[in-house]
Amino acid sequence: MICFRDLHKRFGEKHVLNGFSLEVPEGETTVIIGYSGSGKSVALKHVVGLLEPDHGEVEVDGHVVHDLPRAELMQLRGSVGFVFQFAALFDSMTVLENIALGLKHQGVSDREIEQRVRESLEVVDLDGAEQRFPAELSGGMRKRVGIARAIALRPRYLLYDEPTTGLDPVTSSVINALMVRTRERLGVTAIVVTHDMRSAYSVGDRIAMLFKGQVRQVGTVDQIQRTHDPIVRQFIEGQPDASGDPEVPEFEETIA
Amino acid sequence: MRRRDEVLVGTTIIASLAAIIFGALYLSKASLWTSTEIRVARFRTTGGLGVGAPVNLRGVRVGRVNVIRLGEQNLVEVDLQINQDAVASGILPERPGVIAASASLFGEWEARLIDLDLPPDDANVLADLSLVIESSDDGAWPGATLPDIGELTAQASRIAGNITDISDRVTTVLDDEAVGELQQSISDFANTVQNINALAEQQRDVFGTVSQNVERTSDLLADAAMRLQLTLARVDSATSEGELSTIMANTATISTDAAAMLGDLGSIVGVVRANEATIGRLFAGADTVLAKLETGRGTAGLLLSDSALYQEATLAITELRSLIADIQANPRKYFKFSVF
Amino acid sequence: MFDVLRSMRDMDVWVPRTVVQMRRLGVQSVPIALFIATFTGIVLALLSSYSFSGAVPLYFVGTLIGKTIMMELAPVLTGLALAGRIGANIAAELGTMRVTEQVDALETLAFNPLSFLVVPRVLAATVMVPLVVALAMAVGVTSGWITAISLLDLTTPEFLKGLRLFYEFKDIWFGLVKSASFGLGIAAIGSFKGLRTGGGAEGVGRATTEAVVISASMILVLDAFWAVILL
Repeated sequence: MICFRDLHKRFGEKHVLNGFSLEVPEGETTVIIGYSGSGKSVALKHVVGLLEPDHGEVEVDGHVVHDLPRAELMQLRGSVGFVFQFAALFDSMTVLENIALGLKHQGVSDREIEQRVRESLEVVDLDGAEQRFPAELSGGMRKRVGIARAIALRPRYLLYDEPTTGLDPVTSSVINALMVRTRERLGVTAIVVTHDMRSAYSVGDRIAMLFKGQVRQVGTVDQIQRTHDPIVRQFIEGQPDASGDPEVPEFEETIA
Repeated sequence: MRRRDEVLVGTTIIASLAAIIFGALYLSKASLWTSTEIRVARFRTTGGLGVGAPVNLRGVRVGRVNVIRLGEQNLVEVDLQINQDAVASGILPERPGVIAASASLFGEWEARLIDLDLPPDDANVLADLSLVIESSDDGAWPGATLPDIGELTAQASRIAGNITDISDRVTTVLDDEAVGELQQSISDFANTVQNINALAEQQRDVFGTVSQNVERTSDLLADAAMRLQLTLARVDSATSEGELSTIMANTATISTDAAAMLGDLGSIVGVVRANEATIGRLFAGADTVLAKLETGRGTAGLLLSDSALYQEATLAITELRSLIADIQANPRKYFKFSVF
Repeated sequence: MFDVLRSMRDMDVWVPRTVVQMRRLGVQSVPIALFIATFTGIVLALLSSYSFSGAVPLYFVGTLIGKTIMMELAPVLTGLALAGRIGANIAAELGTMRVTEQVDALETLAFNPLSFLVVPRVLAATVMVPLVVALAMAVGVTSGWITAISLLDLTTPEFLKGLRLFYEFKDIWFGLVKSASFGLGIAAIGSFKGLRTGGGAEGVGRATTEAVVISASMILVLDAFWAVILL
């Protein structure tokens, strides 16, 4: 189980997370929605210790992430798959090498690596792309390779950072279907950060709305769809300026 | 890909290491790959000889100076590293001696190996050599030091001053009666100048040790001096005032000096080939004076009234003097080509 | 810095990657280094003969070429060229990896980016720069020698005489020690600037520029430092 407790994080003047608390139940997919730059990705990076909280803590399986000694942090990272917004594939390596890199590091045998790479690529429908370089792939394919790289480690948790951002609707659907399939096949607990409501509805068990650095509302897909909270309503329906104060933050850049 | 990386990297590393090792060994070859033997030489003084200076035999390098230390009996001991093959091939002299001398004007000195059976004809060197031979009996090579060019020119300068002195005095004693005789004497003097010219001519081809030159030069000089003496005797009898006999006495000693000086000067002349023109002009100047005297322009009155004549003679001497002073002050100007 | 040393423990991570970096940072820098050395040798030969102009014997051309190339010009000129080449390469690559989250991705795969990215580069540069400089020394002296015998009135034995006149082995190792410190500094600064990149393509550009400028200044300062310490 992943648990955010009163998480605070500042970047310079910007108080990005301001008491963010959320529980992610085992075996479910929790979707965090919110405006661009509202701190969704920042929250996600705390889970694997890429960022350290200014205050508060993130607990994974009962361990406080930022207190873990290095060796245990590495072990934790081995059990968490992270799918980056732009896939973050290593340009200088082939698809095969990208996926195999983490496995090799974990001391998996060569034969097993080969098998797991083939499996993972099969899951994302990219069989046979092993020898291609990231630069030769489309955006959607790269994201799928990113997912394959994450699931090849057989993680217990999968963190998706904006998995459908920048993709056309058809490709987005493919990715959504893939995320669902991944959970069914591997039974992982997942956190998906997105502002794409279609995606949120199709992959999420629960949805949490992040607003002004805090969770505005959390509930099942049904609950969110029938919410009366004006801010959440405005966001999920995509209405511009209904309440008069949506406050769309603008510091996505600084976080990327 | 990876295989190629390894090959490329390996090749570069090997090439670089080879460059370092080969370069380092090659550059220090002289002291690394040649086996040497140590020989000890003793000097009264080593002059400007330094550690690392080359040891030459007849101009060919056969080793280097390894250590210089002060020894007993006010002597200096010098360890010479002589190349093994030079020792083994038996080309070293039976009774070797060492002369330390300057190899160039940059203060580089060298140690020259010589055969004591064919010693250099230089009084100082011989004295030094025999001093060392007498005071050591352990087979160390005797050594001596040649004065460097600075000392020679200092001596030459002093003597040139003396010559000017004489010529001044000669000028004062010449009177009417003497002139007739003088004309005869002058022609003798002309001969003398010719001799000196011939000497300079010979010296041009001699570029050896100073001592060799001294011998030959002093013969010629003795001859020249005798003629000068004759000349002055005639002048003396013509004036019959006895004043010249004093000068004569002076001249006798001075000419001895002059003999030595010109010997040294001779070697300088050999070295100064590049600047021979100046010296030539000097002698030519003297010649002109004498030619004028000889043709006489008729009478004694003409000769005596021709003050330019004497001035020219004096000028010629002064020019010689300033030349030598100049050589002394700026040796590079005269020696730069021939030394290297 | 301490982190870098600690991350050297992960031998299995950086050892295989070091060879790749040795080729990219070292072997591929050989042409530019040799190019510079060749022309330096030519110019030095001509310049020195010009300034000696009869007052100093011509064989000192060999001495001057040997000393200046081995002790100063080969290390420093090569160092400056490589500050541009290697420093920019490292800073730009790591900077791009940083802004495209590849560095984060490495961390989530439980890699230490220092072992994976920095150690191979720093090590490769520290080892390869002196070797490249050694080649530059050899080529520089050779080109000086060829210039001396073909354009100047100098013979090979005279040139060698001059070259050997004041030669010490220190001339070579002094240059090589300097070069190793240059390589270390260039790679360390490039890595540091690269990993600290923020703010997209513009940030990468800024990091690259800073890496090159700082490396170049560092080379000159280190050069003076070694001259004070070792001479």
